[in-house]
Amino acid sequence: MPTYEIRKYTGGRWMLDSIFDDKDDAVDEAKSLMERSRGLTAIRVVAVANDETGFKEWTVYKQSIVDGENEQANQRASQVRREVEVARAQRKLDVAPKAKAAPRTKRRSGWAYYAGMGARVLFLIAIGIGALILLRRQFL
Amino acid sequence: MRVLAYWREICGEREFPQRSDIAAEGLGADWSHCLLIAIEAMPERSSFLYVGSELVVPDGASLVGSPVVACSRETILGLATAYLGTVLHRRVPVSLSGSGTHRGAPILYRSILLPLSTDGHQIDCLLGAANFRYVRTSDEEHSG
Repeated sequence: MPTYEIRKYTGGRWMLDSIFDDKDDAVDEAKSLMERSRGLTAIRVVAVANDETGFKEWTVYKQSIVDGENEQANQRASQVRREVEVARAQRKLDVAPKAKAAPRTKRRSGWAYYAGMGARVLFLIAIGIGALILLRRQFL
Repeated sequence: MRVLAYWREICGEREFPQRSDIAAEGLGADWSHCLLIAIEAMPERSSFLYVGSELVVPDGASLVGSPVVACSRETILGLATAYLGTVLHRRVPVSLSGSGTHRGAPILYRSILLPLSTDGHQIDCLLGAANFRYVRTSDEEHSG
């Protein structure tokens, strides 16, 4: 049966804090200790077994201030990504009707342009013919 | 765990709290589940300074002043103090739980021993706490 040692990182070194024979008790106490102690930068629970195969130990739980800060940074990054995706989707929705409307407007402006030009040409031709008729009447 | 939290509270930044830091009022109802052991230079001569009412055998003789090693392992008190040497060797709180017997009946128990020191280095006293519940034989068969 392994025992579970809480080890805390404080003052630049790992120190044994307490020993439990129950894993859940040790992990609960480690979490509680990390929450309450301001001087702690990291904590871990190490299972220690000494049987006929020899002395073994392995970490069953670990937590550090860096883990907490990384978690907060990840949450902030996720939030920013979500906001960007929402803004991008909103922009697509806003742009789509304009994109559909744009060709219709273009077609209409092209037709008007040619009609206007035609009207101007006809008007100039009419003025020219009128001027020729007046000149002919005056001088002939 | 409550007793461990209390020990941490009175310990503060020190390695160990002192025996005089312990107040029954601070432990409330848990005090009746606690014990105090005076540590001698030869640990086997260590003796009880206090034994809470929940840990003694009813109508039994007072254990205050009696050596810890004389305590039967078939009582909660014996189970809760069996690892005294580990606490003195490792110099940290140690918690053990498991099954055993008390007054001839099977129990499940949980216990803790916490070091105390007057000079901040030499462990001269231990604070302990234990609770238990009786279990039926069928429970033991299931758990086995």
